Amino acid sequence: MKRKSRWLRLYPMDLMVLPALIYIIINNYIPMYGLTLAFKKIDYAKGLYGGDFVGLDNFKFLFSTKDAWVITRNTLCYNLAFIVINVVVGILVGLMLSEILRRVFQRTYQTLILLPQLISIIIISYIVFAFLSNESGLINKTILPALGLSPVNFYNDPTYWPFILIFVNTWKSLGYTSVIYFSSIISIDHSYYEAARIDGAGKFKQILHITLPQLKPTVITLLIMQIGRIFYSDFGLFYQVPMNSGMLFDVTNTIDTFVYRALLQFNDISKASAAGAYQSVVGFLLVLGANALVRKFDKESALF
Amino acid sequence: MKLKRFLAMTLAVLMLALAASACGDTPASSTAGSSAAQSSQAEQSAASEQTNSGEPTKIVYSFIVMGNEPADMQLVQDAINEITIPEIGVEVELQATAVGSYPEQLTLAITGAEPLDLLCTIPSGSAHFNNMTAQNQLIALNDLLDTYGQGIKTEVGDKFLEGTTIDGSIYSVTTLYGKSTITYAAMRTDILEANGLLEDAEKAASLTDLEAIFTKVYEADSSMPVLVGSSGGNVLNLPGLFMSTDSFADMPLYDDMGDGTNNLAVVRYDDATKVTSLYEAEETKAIYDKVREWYGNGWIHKDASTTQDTCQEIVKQGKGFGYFFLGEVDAKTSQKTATGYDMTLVEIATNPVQTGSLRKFTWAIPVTSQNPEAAMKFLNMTYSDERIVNLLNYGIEDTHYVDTGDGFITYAEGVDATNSGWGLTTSFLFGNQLLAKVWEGNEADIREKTKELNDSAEVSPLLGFSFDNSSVTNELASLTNVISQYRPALQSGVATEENLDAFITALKDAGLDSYVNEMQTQLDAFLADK
Repeated sequence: MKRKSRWLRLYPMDLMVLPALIYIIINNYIPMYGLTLAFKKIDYAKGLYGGDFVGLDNFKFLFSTKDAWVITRNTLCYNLAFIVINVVVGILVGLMLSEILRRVFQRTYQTLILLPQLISIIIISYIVFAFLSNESGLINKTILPALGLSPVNFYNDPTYWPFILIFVNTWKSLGYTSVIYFSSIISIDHSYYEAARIDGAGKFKQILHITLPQLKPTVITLLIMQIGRIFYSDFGLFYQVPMNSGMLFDVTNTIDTFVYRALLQFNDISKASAAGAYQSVVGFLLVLGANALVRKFDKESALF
Repeated sequence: MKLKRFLAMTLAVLMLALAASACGDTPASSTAGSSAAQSSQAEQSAASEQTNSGEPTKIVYSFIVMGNEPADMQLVQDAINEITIPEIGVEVELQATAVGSYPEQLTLAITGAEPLDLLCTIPSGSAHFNNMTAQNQLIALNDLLDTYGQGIKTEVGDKFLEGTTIDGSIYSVTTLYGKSTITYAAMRTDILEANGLLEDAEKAASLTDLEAIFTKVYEADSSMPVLVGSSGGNVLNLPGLFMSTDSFADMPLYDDMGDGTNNLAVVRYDDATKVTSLYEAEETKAIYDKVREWYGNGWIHKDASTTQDTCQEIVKQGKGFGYFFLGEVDAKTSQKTATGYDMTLVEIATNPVQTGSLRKFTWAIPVTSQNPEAAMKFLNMTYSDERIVNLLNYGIEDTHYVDTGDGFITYAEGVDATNSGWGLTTSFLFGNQLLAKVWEGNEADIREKTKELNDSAEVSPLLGFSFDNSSVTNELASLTNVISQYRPALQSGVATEENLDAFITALKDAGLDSYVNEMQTQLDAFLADK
């Protein structure tokens, strides 16, 4: 009897959640059936899901050469670098934005640093090309000659690319991450800062002892989510921006670009699904692991 | 305070977006989702087909266009239906897709069982004949050809149908135009004239002759690259020919075994029973050495290894003097259209008709087609009925083009390349090009000449051999990566000599030998059967 009344009391809430739940089931759970493709040989005559079962055969191409090491290393290291740099620079810019008092300027800066996020990666790759090209690039045709230096063949020399890619990624995603931190910073209760000022804490001490600890939950949430994507790479960034230049593969080849190039020739949906399955399963395990770690040290901040 | 709440909301929305993007988009899930929706749609359309059995059968004819969908598609479609509905009881729906997205669109249409009855395979990614047949996306046409395709059988002939045959099943019909391919060197006529080199170019018969021209052109203007290559950097390494000796006449030819652009394993005509690995050949090394020398001379476009443009597009931008390319018989007009300049062409070698060239542009019926008979009836018309061929090629007479009265056609009054409602540049595509009217500016007897050349064309002794790569797909996936890593730099001369060694080592690691051996085994079986 008591149970029923509880249900009656809460059913409007359940109804409210229902559409979202249905959406998630249709959009995120049902398609997981597609993962079975990864274990089949695609055969259109038998229908999309009618192919023969081939076990782990479709996964082999991912691990069969020494590229496996290079692409795993590149994917992981770049993502780690992106995560760290995005947190640091994001918080830094978020802080700076929150310290701007004139609303007009605040808005203007915010929009300006958000703009690169909205530019297509193809266009970004040509902006980069406009700087680095051999035939007409700004750096090779104007800046280096002016300094009396000889031109650099950027698209054939891997040395510079870890820096270029990290720079481009930071430039592109800065607006997005800084806005998240900025909004967290300004929602921190002002009375903390007032109290700190009365106690004689300077700007730096306020940031160190109030802002950063208050930002911790946001940082951890974003971190865990990004760790889930650590086996994925931004395809456009690693394929388009280096102009698919083969000489740079040692530092630009990631799991996604490898799969794209491998399957470009014969477009095997099963093999592509195998690669996708591998990335998402590893990502899922990493999210569980990261969350478990967070739970162990700071139960309050854990995601679930 | 209000702002604070707004920003907290923004944060929540952003987080949600992040979460959604984090778990929403595996490639498998999106195809699965759309296919479920599409297949029910296909069932519906199949059901409605049956109820209207007295009506003409409707088919969808899907083709590529180089730009946007032509404006007068409906007009041309109506004109075609005026012929096809009374004569063969088929109502045709034209479907134009931009060439860049065509492979993806085909895959989606077939996985989703969308209405689609005739498609063209093109030498690009998943729309390549080899890929479509490897995944059983096409139906065998033998019986349909016997019943409804007599026009195709006489026009195309058994010789060319053999190129699209696998184990006795004909899976598609090659488009009929000049099927011999010729390797050319192309140079801008105006620059040749300005330097008094036109005569030298016309009688050039060796790489040394060309080098003499390149040297003088470079001396006259070193700001513009002398040679450019298409995306992938292939300046001098064209399929089918080793440009490794000096004299054009002595250059060895090979069959590229129909494997698209990889060219991993080829068979030389002077040793036609043995599969050789192309990149290990001495001739390949000689070509790469030559290109490196030319790059060192400053002749080659410095962005050649990374460019996404074709060589014709680069010349059009005024950033190049010449290029090597593989083209059709009498390619002068097509090169002028593509570059905007008069080009002087030097013929280097004529390649025999190969399986690979017959599989470039072909017409096929997908397994999901509901009306294969009707599709074949219409396909037959595109190979045997002048009216349909001309409608597809040029649009409607007096609307899009007019007869000049002396055997040619040209734009109708007030119509030009920029505003034509049917200004397609894909005239090589539609069925039988030999039935099409001749556009002004071409030679009047070009159709007869092409037909004669087709009939007399030298044919590769390996025509009809089809490599089944299903046992080496893992090797092929790795090999393709190795090729895209090393080949562009080698082909454009940027790479050093050591890069070739590294390339070969990497290919061996990726399983080159088992790939070559597999092809050899299959070739032995093919030759034994013959």
